Amino acid sequence: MTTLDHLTDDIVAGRPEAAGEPTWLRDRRLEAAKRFIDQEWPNSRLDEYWRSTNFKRFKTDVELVTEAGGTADDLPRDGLTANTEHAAIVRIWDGGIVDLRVGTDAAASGLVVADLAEAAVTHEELVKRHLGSLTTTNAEGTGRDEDRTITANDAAWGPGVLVHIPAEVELAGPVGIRIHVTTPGAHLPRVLVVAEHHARGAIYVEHTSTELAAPTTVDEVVEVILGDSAHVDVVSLQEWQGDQVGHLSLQKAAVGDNATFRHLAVNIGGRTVRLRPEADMVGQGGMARPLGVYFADEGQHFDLQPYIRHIAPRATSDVLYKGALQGKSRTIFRGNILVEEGAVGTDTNETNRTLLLSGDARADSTPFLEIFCADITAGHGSATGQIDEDYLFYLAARGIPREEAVRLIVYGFFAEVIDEMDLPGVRERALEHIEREIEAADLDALAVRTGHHAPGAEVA
Amino acid sequence: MSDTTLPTSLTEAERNQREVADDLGAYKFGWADSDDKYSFTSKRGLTRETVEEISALKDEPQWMLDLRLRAYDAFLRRPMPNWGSDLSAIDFDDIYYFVRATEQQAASWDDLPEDIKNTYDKLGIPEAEQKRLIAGVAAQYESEVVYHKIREDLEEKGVLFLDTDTALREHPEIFREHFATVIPPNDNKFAALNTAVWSGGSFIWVPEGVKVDIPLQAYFRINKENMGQFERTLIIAEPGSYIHYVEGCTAPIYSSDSLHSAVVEIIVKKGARVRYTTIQNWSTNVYNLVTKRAVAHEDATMEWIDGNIGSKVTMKYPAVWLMGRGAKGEVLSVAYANDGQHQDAGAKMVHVASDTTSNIVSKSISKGTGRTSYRGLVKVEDGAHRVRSAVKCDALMLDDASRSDTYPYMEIEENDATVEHEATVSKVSDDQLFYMMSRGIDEDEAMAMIVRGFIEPIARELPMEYAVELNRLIELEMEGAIG
Repeated sequence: MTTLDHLTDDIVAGRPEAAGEPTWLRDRRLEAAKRFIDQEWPNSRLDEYWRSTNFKRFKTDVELVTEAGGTADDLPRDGLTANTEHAAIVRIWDGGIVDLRVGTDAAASGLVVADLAEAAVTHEELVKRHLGSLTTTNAEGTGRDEDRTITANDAAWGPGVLVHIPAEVELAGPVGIRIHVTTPGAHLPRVLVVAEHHARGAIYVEHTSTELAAPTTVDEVVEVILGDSAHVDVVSLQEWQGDQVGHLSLQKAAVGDNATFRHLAVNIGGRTVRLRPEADMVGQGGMARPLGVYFADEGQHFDLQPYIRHIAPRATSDVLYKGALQGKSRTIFRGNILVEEGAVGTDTNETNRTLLLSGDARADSTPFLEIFCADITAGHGSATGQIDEDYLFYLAARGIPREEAVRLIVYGFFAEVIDEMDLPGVRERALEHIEREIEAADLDALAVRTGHHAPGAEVA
Repeated sequence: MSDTTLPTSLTEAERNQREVADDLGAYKFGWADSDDKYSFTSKRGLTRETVEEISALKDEPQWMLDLRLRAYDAFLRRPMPNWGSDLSAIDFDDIYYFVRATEQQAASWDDLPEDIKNTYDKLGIPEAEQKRLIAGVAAQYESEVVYHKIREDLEEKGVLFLDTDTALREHPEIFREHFATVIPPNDNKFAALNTAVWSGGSFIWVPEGVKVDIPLQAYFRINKENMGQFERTLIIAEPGSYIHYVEGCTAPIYSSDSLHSAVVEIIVKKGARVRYTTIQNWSTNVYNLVTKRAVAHEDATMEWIDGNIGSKVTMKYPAVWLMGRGAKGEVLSVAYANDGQHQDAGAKMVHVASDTTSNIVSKSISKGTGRTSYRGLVKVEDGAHRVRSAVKCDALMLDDASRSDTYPYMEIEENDATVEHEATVSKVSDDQLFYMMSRGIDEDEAMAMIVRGFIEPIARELPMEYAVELNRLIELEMEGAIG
């Protein structure tokens, strides 16, 4: 049995994708496999970034899933990927890509969306240059060798997707990538997005599953390379069904001169989700806007770690994460903004707001700042609280029933984040999830804030 | 800013201060006395025998020796912290763990050995006592308290203000009831070290309902090179009482490092209030690794006012465990890190009971290659309802080589808690300087005014003399800020 715990050279080299891969890629996989063997799984007591999530929540003695779960025809055409006018659609079902279509216009404009293993041959230079540039210590990118969770993906990733938006091409619709899991085990999807200078596009990465019968670990890496003045939006939806999925995801961008990277994480499903949306501000005047909404209920554990590294001068970043919790759930916002020595004129801000809807939930918020450069502006804020009784009273006085009032307030709370990602279908989809969560909430047990509170204490 | 004093119209006092500053450079307390006449110096390094020797010299009861040895084992067992500052340069084998400078505690300053008396004269402590700016004073020199005095009327009211060694001898019951209950011997590596080799420090017991109107003061001085100072302070405020305790500390400048690792435990009983003020001004070869924690019972108030100016490395996070309904905790912290210094300071508020509130204000300034870090925790335990907490951290960076970090942790387990955190990091802007200079204020003065304004919310909470002292220290540190 080939489990995530026992990745070896043979297993890595023997992967179906690896069979037709060029030597350089094979060598990189083997290098990663060597590192993997030397490394250990993260230890919460030793690793600050694993402090809040016990790695044992992720099962590693589960078998690698390398076969597709079926054919495209058997895969329901639902979700965000089905609803909007896409420039391209990729559907991954368990260990294989079952559907890959690029729209005629998009293809004509030069958009490439391809199986990453094939692209390693057909677009060799591009893939060779960028793949792993943000996850491993290398000459090309700002990546550094990562912990074992990422090394595992570097060694044994598959299936993978390449999205290449040529210079000055603006996509009319999003590229939809659906990652659908029906077979329990270990899944190692990989996405590489390269947007050349002045390119523009949106990528949806939609994570779905059926209710699985056994523990499943999805260990995913998404790398996004933005050339000068490029604009890329990534929307990552965590919509796992049931309580078996542990999702590890690094979604990291290198942001070039005057480029804009926006990222929206919508976290609804999954037993344990540890998401690292990261941006390395490598170009002058770049902009990063990591956004997040999360709604955790009974048994769920979300550890969300947006991390911005300001390397080049005059870049800006603004992190905004808003979450709600109910039932016995736990969320961790672990933001970090690092401003390196030469990053003069950096302007950065980091905000986390949490609504606790029930008494058993636990919300941790740790918005870190690490600043090595004086000539900057930085701030962060965090607030955790409840719905204000005054608001409910105000709405009740206008004849709006309590249940409806709560919905309005929670909508309003999240809308600030969601409205900013003005992309087709995203707002509707995110609000649909939030509505479903509110419907499941026990409104009688809802905590509200009453009476004399400090001015400015409103969490929303 | 309209009533700003221009540099040309400095008051005489300010002018004098500037001259003093010019004379002494950035650190005013760097002289060292001779250690030839010390009555006892332990061997360098720490063994089980060192611990036994300290206990024997103090003629302690068996339970204290047992506790020390247990703590010694914990010290060996506990790992060094793998976060915060780099502590790898501390050589535990090179340190003197116990040094007795003089055999007898003096009843008057004149009874002290000449060198020691001169040192305290230079620090201005006897003068402050004479002017009755303080209600009592303790002076610790190396490992032990060499001078101790409390105002007669407080003594009559039953206030105990003793050095901790004397308290163990004279008030064994109340001592044993509270000692090491707030900070257990194995709490962390440095608290364990302190518990193993502690010596000196203050013991204060304020009877029910007694309010001490002016502060008690303790002054800690390290003199010897490679000294380890491990004072232990225990403050017990009985219901409805009030006490303000102020501590200051200095040391000579040496090329090798000293270690100051204190433990401060405070018990604030129902409705009592304790304010604890520190102006830490160790020389830049002192590692200052301190554990300070208070428990606040029902409707009690605990306030830490913490100024960190000196030391090579400070790691200090004054904590309040809010154990009783309605308890309040407050930390006001100002840190200044100059070249080569790392001030890793902050606060911890643990809300165990309902209707408890906490407030943390932190101001830090880094200059040259200095590094300041705010590291704080606000925890709302399961079952603590209607908790409110607010944290505000501001950092000012004066140079390109400076570093500033903010590491706030908020862990909230109750849904009706309101916890807020805000932080800013900024540089003194050219606009601000230009604005002031256009009104005839020179650049140095403008910078100093901005920094004074920045720390003002904390300076105003200090007794007047200390606010002046803090401002003066920061002004000294600011010298040459404009390059």
